[in-house]
This record gives sequence, structure tokens and C-alpha cells, in this order.
Amino acid sequence: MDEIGLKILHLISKGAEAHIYKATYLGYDVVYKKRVPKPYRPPEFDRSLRIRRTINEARMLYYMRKFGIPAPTLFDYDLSETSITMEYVEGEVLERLLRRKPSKEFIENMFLKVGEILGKIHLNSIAHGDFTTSNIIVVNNEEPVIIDFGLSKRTNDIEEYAIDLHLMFRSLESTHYDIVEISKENVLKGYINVVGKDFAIKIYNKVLEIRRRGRYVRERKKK
Amino acid sequence: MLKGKTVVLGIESTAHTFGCGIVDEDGKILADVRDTYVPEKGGKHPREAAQHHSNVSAEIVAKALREAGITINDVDAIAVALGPGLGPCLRAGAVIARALAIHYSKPLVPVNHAVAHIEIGKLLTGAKDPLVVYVSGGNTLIAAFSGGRYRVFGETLDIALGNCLDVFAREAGLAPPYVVKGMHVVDLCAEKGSKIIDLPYVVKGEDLSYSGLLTAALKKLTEGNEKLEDICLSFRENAYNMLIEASERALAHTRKKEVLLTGGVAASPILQNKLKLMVKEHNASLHVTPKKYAGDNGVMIAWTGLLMFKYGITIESEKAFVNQRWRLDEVDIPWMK
Repeated sequence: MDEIGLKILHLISKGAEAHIYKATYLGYDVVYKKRVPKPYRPPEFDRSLRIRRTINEARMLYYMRKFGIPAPTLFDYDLSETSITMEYVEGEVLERLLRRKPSKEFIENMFLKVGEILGKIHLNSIAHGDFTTSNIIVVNNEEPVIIDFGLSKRTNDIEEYAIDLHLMFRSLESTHYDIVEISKENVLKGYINVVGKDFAIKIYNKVLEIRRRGRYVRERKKK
Repeated sequence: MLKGKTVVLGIESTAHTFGCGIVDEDGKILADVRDTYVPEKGGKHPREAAQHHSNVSAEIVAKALREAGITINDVDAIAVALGPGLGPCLRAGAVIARALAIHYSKPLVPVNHAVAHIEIGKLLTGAKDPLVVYVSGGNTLIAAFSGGRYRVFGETLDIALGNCLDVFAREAGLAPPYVVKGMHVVDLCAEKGSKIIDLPYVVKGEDLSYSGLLTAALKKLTEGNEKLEDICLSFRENAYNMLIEASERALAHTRKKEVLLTGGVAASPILQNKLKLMVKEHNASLHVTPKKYAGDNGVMIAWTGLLMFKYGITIESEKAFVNQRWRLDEVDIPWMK
């Protein structure tokens, strides 16, 4: 496949599980994401995990496009390389953008959209699995695009949906602790806009239940 | 000999170990005495452990003072772990700490057990600002300092890694004892395994879930179609690799340059080696709390109490309630910038 169109230009970043390259594919700007072997895992264990995640992510990117959820378009994938070629999304990762302390209006608006997108993902029976501010790219300083679907799954289990919300809350609490309240509130607001109040309450109660399950959590006291 | 130096006595009783440690402000360990409740069979019952603590507490404190070669008059403050942990056990420690503070008119310092694991690790390994991987029988936590507190980046959504390993070992008939020649019995048994069986590998962002893995591994045991050694190997690889992956995500996210491995499970050479390989890829350094102080002990409570005492953090004895669910990220850490 490579000779037909893929041309790797340069390394953009080394994430925890993959190396991300800027590349071109059939003339388009693309991202080439290659899941790399981890020396701490036995080779066969490592390889099957990488293959599983590559297939999964490629499939999920296809679903995102099908369901009209903002995510990079899938161009190609290669299981022997455990790599995925996808649309290059020009923008800034939300986690980094928030460090510049944007205005209150910006934060409200952004997290409202984030909540709406999450609602849409769940309504299509998908859980993202790693829904944090590090996995959202903001385009034109206004539109969130969701990335990194390696841990996503098709599911109707509301626990998996609740974990998405829990992970977003956790990333807000650990990394954006100065804007926790306003961002959480707007994520929920956006989520309710899309899934409706009844469903949202069901999921939110599940989030509280998951947090109670943690060994030493404040929430458990309310029982 | 102690002229001018602040000395703190610390009491630990959050789980099955009752410990009393004494340190001075240079981080010198003057005394470290402990006694661990070991049930004759099966798991640890919190109430029985608490009874054990109450029985030994006075003697342990007296022994610590003798070991340090000081009297209670030389102690500037009493530190006590008020949580998180098992209620009855915590109360046993709180009772003697409050009694000492009131009877000898000493300031009482409320210490968070998780903070203490981190601080003793930093003191003994020289790590300054690490990503902390804290794994024990009751805790599985990935944390780092940011904005005045240790923030939690990942943790288990159900049971702790140590608990998961111990329950499996017990059900498989490998334990007690849980540790033989410095190795966990699951690690030992896994060394003889050769085949990796498919078991649940559950990483959710930087969070982990061990209950599904435990259930599936136990099911393999009862089915009896696989060799115990292979089940151990597969179980261990899943359990450890999940933790390393979540830690790697947190390391990439926080961009810290040090990783501190601490807690009772930190002693596993297999886990240490895996973590070392991961950390190297990110040009960070691995620091492992020395085995003697990786598990629960009174020294870590004394040292953290001393850091807090230097910043004037004390609590009135009447208000020193135990808090079973005292979260790490609720504690201000003024000694770090």
C-alpha cells in the first residue's frame, strides 16, 4: 500500500501507546498512527493487544463518520504494521488550550459541545473508553473533534457510558482543577440536551455509583 | 543529642500493621517498631486486626522510645494516620495517639496514609516530584503533584492489585503465606508458566478494573483445563501490564521525569522490572521505595507528620476523628511548590 500513496513526513508526537506522524496519502494531509511494541509485555501478548486495538480504532472511526460525529476520517489501516492512516485534523488539543486560561464563555461553550458530542456517541451505542481533554482537538478555536478510539467499544451497557463521563470528570479534577465546576456543569448540560433528562440522570447516578465503588471516596458517605 | 532538632513520633494502624516510628527533622530514623496481625487462616478480619492493635499498641510505643533512646519528653509532636483505611483499625491507632497527645500535652498531627507512603518514598529515594504508582493490598493509585496537592490521575475502579493477587493466591491454594523468599507466590508460580491464556485486560483511560480479571482467572482454576502455572502467568501478565499501561498514560500526560513505585506490592521484582522498561522509554527515572518502608509502617507517618508540623498543621485531639475514605487529593501539601 505504501508505494501507492502513503508518504511519512515527520514525527508529531510520541504518545503512551503509539507514535504519531504527519504524512500524506493520495495527496491528502494525514496522520499516520503506529502502535509500537512495548518491551514490558511478552511479545505475543503485546502483538495481539496492538492488533486488537488497531482493528477496533479503525472500525470506530468508520462508525463515527457513519453517525456524523466529529472525528478524523479513516483512510487506511495496516495490521502487519499495527498502523492507522487518518485525516489530519488541524487544531489544538483541548488539554493544552485550557492551560492558556481561556474566558469563562469559551469554557462554557466548549464543554457544552463536548457534552453534546458524548451524548451523540452514546446514543449510537458506543462508549469512547478514554474520554478526556487530551483526546479532544479543537478546530478553529471552536469545534471539538474527538480522537483516540483504541479503547472504544460498541455497547449498550450504561456502565460503559458512565465511565466515559467519569473519565472526563477525572481529567477535569486532576488537570483542570481550577475550572472543575463550570466545565462539569456544561458537559452535563450538553449531554442532557442530546440524550434527554431521564437517560442523563440514569447515567449520572451510575457515575456516582462507580465512584462509590472506589475504595476511599467521599461519595460513599451519602449512602 | 537531640538539642534543637524537631522530633516526631508517628503511629500507623490503617490495616493489619500497627507501627510506631520516630524521626528527626533531618529525616533520620530514630526508631521503627511494628507488629503485624497475621490470621491463622483465610483473610484478615478488620475487627480482629483492631483487637490485635489495641493489645500491642502501648508496648510498641514504649519499645520505639527505648529504641530511639529518648523519652516522650523529647518528642515534639505525635502524628497519627487518621485514614484512609479500615475503620476499627484506624480507631485503635487514633485512641493511643490522642491519649499520648492529651496526657503529655503534645500537639497532634493528622496524617493521610497515602501522602505518607509518597513522602517516605521521596525521602528514602531522593525523588523530588515523581509520578507516584502506589500499589498495596488496599490501594491502586496513580498520582502526581500539581497545584498544591497530589492529584489522582488513575486508580482502580473496583479492587486493589494487591487484593486481587492475594485472593487469587488463596483460592488457588498457594497462600498463606503470600510471600515466599521475597516473592509473591503468584509471581513464583508464574515463573513456571509458559503459555498465555486469554483473560480480561481492562484499562479505561488511566483507570483500571481488576474484578473481571480475578473472576475470569478463578473460573479457569475451577474449570481445570489449564495448568495452574499458565493461569498464574497469564493472570500476572494481565494484572501488571494493565498497571504499567495506565502508568505510562499518566506519565505521558503529566510529563514527569521521575516515577516512584511504593506500597506493599512495590516489592515485586517482576513489577519493578516492567516499570523500569516503561520508564526508560520516556527518559524518566524509576525510584522504588526500599522494601522495608514500602509496606505500612510508623516511620512514614512520623516523617509526614514532621513535614506538616513544620508548617503548623495540627489538630485538636477532640476533633481527631478517623476518616476511612480520606482521599489523597483532599490534602494540601505546603512543603512542595
